[in-house]
Amino acid sequence: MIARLELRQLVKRYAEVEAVRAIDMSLAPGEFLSLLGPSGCGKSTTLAMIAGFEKPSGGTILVDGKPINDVPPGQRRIGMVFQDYAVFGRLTVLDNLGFGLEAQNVPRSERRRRIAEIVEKLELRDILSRRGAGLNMSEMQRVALARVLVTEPRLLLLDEPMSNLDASMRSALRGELKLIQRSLGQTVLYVTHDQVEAMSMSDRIAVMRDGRIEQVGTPDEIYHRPATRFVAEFIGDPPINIFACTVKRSGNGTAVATALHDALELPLSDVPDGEHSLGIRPHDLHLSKAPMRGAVATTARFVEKLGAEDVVHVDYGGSLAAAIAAPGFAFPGDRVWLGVDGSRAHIIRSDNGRVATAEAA
Amino acid sequence: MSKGLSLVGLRKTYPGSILALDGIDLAVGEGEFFAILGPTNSGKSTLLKTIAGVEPVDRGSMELFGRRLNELEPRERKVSLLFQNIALFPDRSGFENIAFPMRVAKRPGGEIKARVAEISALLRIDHLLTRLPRTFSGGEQQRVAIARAIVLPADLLMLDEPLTNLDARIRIALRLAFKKLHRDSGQTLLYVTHDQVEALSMADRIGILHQGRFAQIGTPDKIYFRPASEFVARFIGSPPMNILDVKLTMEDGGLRVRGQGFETIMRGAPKMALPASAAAGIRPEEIGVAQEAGPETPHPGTVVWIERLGSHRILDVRLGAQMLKVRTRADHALDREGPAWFGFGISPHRILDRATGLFLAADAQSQTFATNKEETACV
Amino acid sequence: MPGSRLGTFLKRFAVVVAMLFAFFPIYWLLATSIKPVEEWAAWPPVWLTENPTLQNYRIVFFPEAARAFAAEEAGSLDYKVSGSAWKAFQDSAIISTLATFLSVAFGTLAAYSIVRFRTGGENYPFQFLTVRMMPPIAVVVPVVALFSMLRLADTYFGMILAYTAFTLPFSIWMIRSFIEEAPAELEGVAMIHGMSRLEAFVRVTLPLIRGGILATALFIFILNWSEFLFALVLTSGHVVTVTLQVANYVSASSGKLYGVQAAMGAISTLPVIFFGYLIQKHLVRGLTFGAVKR
Repeated sequence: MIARLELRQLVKRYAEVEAVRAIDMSLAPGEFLSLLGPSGCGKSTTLAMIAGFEKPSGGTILVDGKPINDVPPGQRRIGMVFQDYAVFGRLTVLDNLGFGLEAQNVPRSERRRRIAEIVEKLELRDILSRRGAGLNMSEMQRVALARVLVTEPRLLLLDEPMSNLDASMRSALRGELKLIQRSLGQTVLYVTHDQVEAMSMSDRIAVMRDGRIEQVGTPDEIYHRPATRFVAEFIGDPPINIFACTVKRSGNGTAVATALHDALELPLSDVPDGEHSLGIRPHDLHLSKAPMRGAVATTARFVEKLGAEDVVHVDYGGSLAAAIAAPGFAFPGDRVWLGVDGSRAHIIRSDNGRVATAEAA
Repeated sequence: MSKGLSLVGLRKTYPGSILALDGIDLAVGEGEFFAILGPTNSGKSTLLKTIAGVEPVDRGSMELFGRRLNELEPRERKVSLLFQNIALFPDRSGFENIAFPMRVAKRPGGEIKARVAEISALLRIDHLLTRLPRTFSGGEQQRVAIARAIVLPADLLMLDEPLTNLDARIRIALRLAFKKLHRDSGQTLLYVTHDQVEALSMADRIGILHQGRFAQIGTPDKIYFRPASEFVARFIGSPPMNILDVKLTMEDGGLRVRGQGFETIMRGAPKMALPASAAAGIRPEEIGVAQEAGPETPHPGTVVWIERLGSHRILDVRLGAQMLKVRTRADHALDREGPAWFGFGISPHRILDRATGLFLAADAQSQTFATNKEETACV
Repeated sequence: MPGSRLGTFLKRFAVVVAMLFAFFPIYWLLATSIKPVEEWAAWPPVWLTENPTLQNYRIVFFPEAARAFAAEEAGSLDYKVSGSAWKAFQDSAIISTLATFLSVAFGTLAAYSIVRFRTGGENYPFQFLTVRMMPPIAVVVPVVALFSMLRLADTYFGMILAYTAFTLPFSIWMIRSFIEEAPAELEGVAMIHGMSRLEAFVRVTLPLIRGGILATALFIFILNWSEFLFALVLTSGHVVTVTLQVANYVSASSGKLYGVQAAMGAISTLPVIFFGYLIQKHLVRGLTFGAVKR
C-alpha cells in the first residue's frame, strides 16, 4: 500500500532546454519530502514525470523497485492534489469523494466501504451533503485529500496546493495536512516554492535549482548546514548575511577576517586560504548595548519590526548586516556591539560556491 | 506632527450597494510612512483611488496639507499612486513610461533624461529603458511602475501592494530600499498591503482596515502588543495570537483568571467591570516551555506537533481541551513531541470581552488616530 | 507515425474543401464578368470562357459602350443603365464613408461612457443590440414614412443619417469590448499625472484600442457599402448606391445582365479590399499585453 519512490538519473529535455538534469532521489515509505525551489527550477516538471503527465527524456522512475516509466498515468496508482485543491464546487462532498472511484470503475460495494473509511478518518461525516462551493478552506483541503485517498494511491503528490491562500490560512492548513499525513502514514511528495511550507511539514527537503538538486536534508540541516551558497541564500527569512572575507589556516582552526571582525575563529575546514565569502544568519549575530568579548562596535541604521522580534540593520564596513533582536531593542542611530557565533558561520568557497565542510580532526 | 493628509468620515459605495468605505477617519503626518493593512476586499485599494480622485467619494472630506481635495481633479491633487495592477503603458518604452509624468508636466528633455537615468539607476532598471513592458518580468514591471510613481515629487505618494507577487528575495531587498527611499526623501507615504511583515517592518504607523473601517491605528509595537480587538489580534502575528476562553473573578489578591488547564492571579489589576464572557490573548512567543514543571512553567500540556522553521519553532500544544500555538527559538531544549510544561502571564490589556470583541483597557487613543509624538518617533 | 500522418492529411483535405466553398462565389463572379453575353447563363455552365472580353467592364464605365450594347444586343436597356456607374461609386463612397465615420465616432464615445461610467446600467449595451434583432424589413415602412415627412428621402444627408443609426449598435457593442480590455488604471495614471479625463482617453486609451476601432470601422463600412434594402426604399433616382446600380442592370428583353452585374460586383469589392489592406497591420490584436500584472 505505502510505497517507496526512487528516481534514478531522471532527465527531462524540451527542445534546447534541459529542465531536469539527471536527478537521483528516493522517498522512504511514509516519508514526507518536499521539492523546494524558485519557479523554473524543474520541481513541477519532476512531479509531472512521476505523475505520468510528462515522459522522461532519460532515467528511471521506480515505485517499490519496479520501473513505471511506461505505465500510463491512470494505472500508476499515484494520487495527485492540485493547486487550490480543485474541489468540484457544484457537487456534494459525497459526490466529490465518489468521483475518482467512478472513473476507475470500482464496484459499488467497494466504493461504499472505502468512502465510509475515509469519511471516518478525515472527519467528513458532518459535511457529506454540503456542496464543494460552500466549504471553508480547511474542509476543502480534507475533501481534496479524501477524494484522492479513496483511490488508495501508493504515493501522494501535492503540487503547491496552498500557493494562493493567505498566510494565516496556510499556517492552519499546514498543521492539519501534516497530522493527516502522519496518522495515515502516507508517502507524500510535496512541491512548493514556499520555504515555510517545506520547512514546517517535511521530514526531508530537496532544494532544487536549474534542474538539479542542490541539497537534500532535514529542515534543520538545510537551515543550519546549507551545502551551497544558493541554499544558504534561498532558505531563511530574513535572508542570510553574506560578507567578503579572507581565510587563513592557523594551527587546528581557520582564521577568518571580514570588514568588521578581523579575527574570527572557525573550525578547521577544507577551504583553501584566500578570498571567500562568509555567511551568517541574522539569528546567529548577537547584538548588545554594552561592549562584549569578541563584539565590535557599530551603529544601527534601520529597524524592521516583525512583531515577535526586530531585524536591526547595522553598519558592517560599507554594507549592512541584519541581526535579530528583541522588540524595541535598538533604534536607528544607536550604538550597538555586534558579536558573531563562529560555530554557526559558514565559509562559502569562491571557487565553487559550496559551503566549506569541517575537516575530521 | 504637522498636518499631512486628513480624512474625515469617508464613505464610498459601489454600484449594487456594495459598501467599500464605511466612515474612514485618518490623519497622516507630514513625512510619515503610514501602512494600511487589511485582508482582501477590506477597501484598501478603494481608499487610495478615492484619495487620488480616480474614484468618486460619496461622503466625507479629504484634505492634503490644508488643501481640500474633494472638488479637485486628480491632476490638481499633487498625489502619486502606484496602482496594484501596475498599469504600465503597453505601447510606450520603459523610458517613456517612467518619463510620462514629466512629459505631461512639459519638463525640458534634458531634465527628463537626467532624472530618468537617476531613478532607473536607483531601481536597477537601466536595461529596460528601451524595451516595451510586455518583455518585462513581473518584478521588472513592478520596478518600472515604482519609478514612474516617484519620478516627480508629489505631496503624497501612495503605493498599492507594490511588493505583492514578487519573489521573496526581491521583496525583502525592496523592503529595505523603500525604507531608505522614504528616509532620504521625507515623502509622506501611504502604503497598502495585506502582508503584515511589510507593514510592521516599514511603517511608522499602521491602520488595520476591516470591512471599510479602521479596526485600529497605531505604531507597529502598539498594533502587535496591544491589539484593540480580537480581529486585530488574530490578523497580526505569525502564528496569530492565542485567544483562550477564561473565567474572571475579582478576589482579594487580584483578578483570578481561570481557563482550561491553567489558572493565574493577576496582581494589581485595576478595578474594572468584568465581562460575563471573556478570553485572554497570549502571543505564541510569550509562552514559556519546559520539560519539567517549574515556577515559570506550572501548567501541564502536550506538544502535538513541532514545526521547525529554521530560526525558530512553532509548537502545536494541547492545554486542557484547547489547542494553542507556542513559539520557541531553534536552539530551545525541548525538541520532542509529547508531554511538557507551560507558563504565561496575562496582562489586563489582553483580556477580551467576548460580547464586544474588544480588549478591555484597550487604549482608547489607539482606536482613533494618534497625534502624539511618541508614537511616530520610533523609526 | 502513420496515425498522425492520416490526421494531417484529413486536416488539409478539410481546409481545401472549406476554401473551395468560400472562394467559389468569387471565382464565379470574376469568371462571369469576362464572359461574352451568350455564355452568361448558358447550360451546361461555362466554367472558364474561351472568349474573354472586357465588354462588361466597358458597359459599366462608359455610357457610349452601354448605349451601343443596348442598341445591338439587349434592345431596351434601362435609362439608368445607359448612364455610367461612376455616380453610383461616388454616392456610395460619400454615404458609406461618412456614415462609417459618424457611427464609429459616436459609438466610441457611447461605449466609453458605458464602460467607464456604467451609463444605462448593466444591460444597456445589450438593449442597443436588440434594436438590430428586428429584421430590417420590419422597420422599413415607418422609416420611409418618417423620411418623406422630414423630406430626407433621396438625399445624401438622409442616407448618411439612416446608415449611422442602423450601424451604431454594432459600433457600440464592438468598441465596448475593446475599451473593456484597456485597463482603467492607465487613464488613472494619466489623470493623476496631469491629464484631464478627455486627454487621458484620447492620448492613452485611444492609441491602445486603435486596432479595434479600425476593425470596427471596416466591419461597419462593409455593412454600409453592401446595404441594399434601405437604399432601395429611401431613394428614387437622385441618390444611387452601388448595390442599386448592380440591381439596375436589367433589360426588358434579356432579363438580368449577369455579365455586367458581375463586372460591377467585381469592381465594387475593390474599395473594401483596399480599405482592408490599408488597415490590416492595425488589426493585430494583443496590443494591450504588458499593461497590467496578470
